[in-house]
Amino acid sequence: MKRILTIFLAVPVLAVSIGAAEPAKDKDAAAVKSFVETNITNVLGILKDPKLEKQERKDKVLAIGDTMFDLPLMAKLSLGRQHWTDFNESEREKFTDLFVTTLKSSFVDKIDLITDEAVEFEAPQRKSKTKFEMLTVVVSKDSRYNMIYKVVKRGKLWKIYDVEIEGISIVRSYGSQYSQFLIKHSKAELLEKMAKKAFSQPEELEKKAAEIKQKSADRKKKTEKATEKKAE
Amino acid sequence: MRYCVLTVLFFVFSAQGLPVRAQDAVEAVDEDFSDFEEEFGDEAMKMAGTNTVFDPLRGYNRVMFKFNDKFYYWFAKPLARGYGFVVPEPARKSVNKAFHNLHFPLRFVGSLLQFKFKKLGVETGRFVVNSTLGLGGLFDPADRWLGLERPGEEDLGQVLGHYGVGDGFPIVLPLLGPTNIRDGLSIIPAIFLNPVFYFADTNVNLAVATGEQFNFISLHIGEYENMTKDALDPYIFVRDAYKQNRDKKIRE
Repeated sequence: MKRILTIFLAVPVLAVSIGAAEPAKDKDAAAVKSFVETNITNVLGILKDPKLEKQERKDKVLAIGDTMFDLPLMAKLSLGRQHWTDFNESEREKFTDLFVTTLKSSFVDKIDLITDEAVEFEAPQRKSKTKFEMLTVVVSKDSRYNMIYKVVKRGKLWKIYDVEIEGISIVRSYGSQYSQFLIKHSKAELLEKMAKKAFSQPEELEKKAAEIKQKSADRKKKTEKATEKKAE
Repeated sequence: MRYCVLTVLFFVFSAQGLPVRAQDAVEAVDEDFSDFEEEFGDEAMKMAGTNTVFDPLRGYNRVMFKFNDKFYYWFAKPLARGYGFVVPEPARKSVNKAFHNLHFPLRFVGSLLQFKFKKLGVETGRFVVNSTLGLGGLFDPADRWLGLERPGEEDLGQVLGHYGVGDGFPIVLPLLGPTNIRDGLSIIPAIFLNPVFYFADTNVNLAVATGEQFNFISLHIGEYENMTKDALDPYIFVRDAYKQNRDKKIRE
């Protein structure tokens, strides 16, 4: 009799405890969902706001990016355990800086490609105690592509530590390039090449833009002179 | 004698002990790596096809990659740009859709061989509706009106991958770009699943295929540039990205 009683008691107790555990899980999932959704909606809003100047737009998007992504963590994971331990403190710092600069500039470049895209959000999937993956579908000109945001709880905040675009992971792609490069080259060479990539390109582009402007200005002058001569 | 043994033992143990302790310290500092071992550890990277790739044709591949890159910048891109300038975007999108519709047999066979019946049904429904009401696939009423969204692509390389055929090794084809032995060879039987093959001679086939590519490029100018621009080594980046993308498609 006693045993039956305890079973009767145990069942509701178990049910209640399972029920209590469920909302706690849901809470995390809901937090991740709103974290990804609000940030991306904000970014899209900024990109589609016609009132903003180009530079303003970039600054605003980068500010959101800073709070969304854990860029130093991404740098570390990209380099990988073996090389990270091999790098000393200042090399690590330099590497992280360059990685962050590269990723930011690549992010900003892609802004211009976004025109009429819309994003659909799916429910986040729990991967471990602190990790979630959230699938989003980007609907663009002629195709739909999957973008998975991988989110981890760092301290009290949720942060994105990797993005997978149609199966291509940012951390893995950068990571594999670094490790392949380091097979034949030194750490110093890696940092040098990264610095070249991160900083020289915009300058080159600016130079080219200046050249083109100069040329068109010259051409204008020439035609003006020609028309003046004709007028004379 | 006893001291001798003791000292030898001492050295053996201390020598073994040292690296272990050093590793412990490293692990303590870098909890991050253990937290993400499953995704980005050596083993995981190998599984994802990155880091250590068997690439025996590396030398040839790099040369061909460079050739394709130049071909794109100097020839394909300006031409596609000019074409895009003349033909308005909605028209190019429609052409793109029509080509997609035309490749229905390949996706049908691909889905069938993998017993993906849901996909098969959606693809067939889309083909019937879009070929008729959508004027040969120029429009997509199956999606618009019936909510039959375009499912993921299927091709013969994916079929082989699905049944466990490995990708061999990477190879860069002239003009067609990076692929691997498995997917590259799968292009050949796929030709017989292209309806144009049965209605026109080789020259027309080549012209149609080229037109399809140019139309596609005109809709995606800037994407290749952006992807490869930040890459430390564009060849490695594209090669590994191709592998990751194919593996994802095979998994689906």
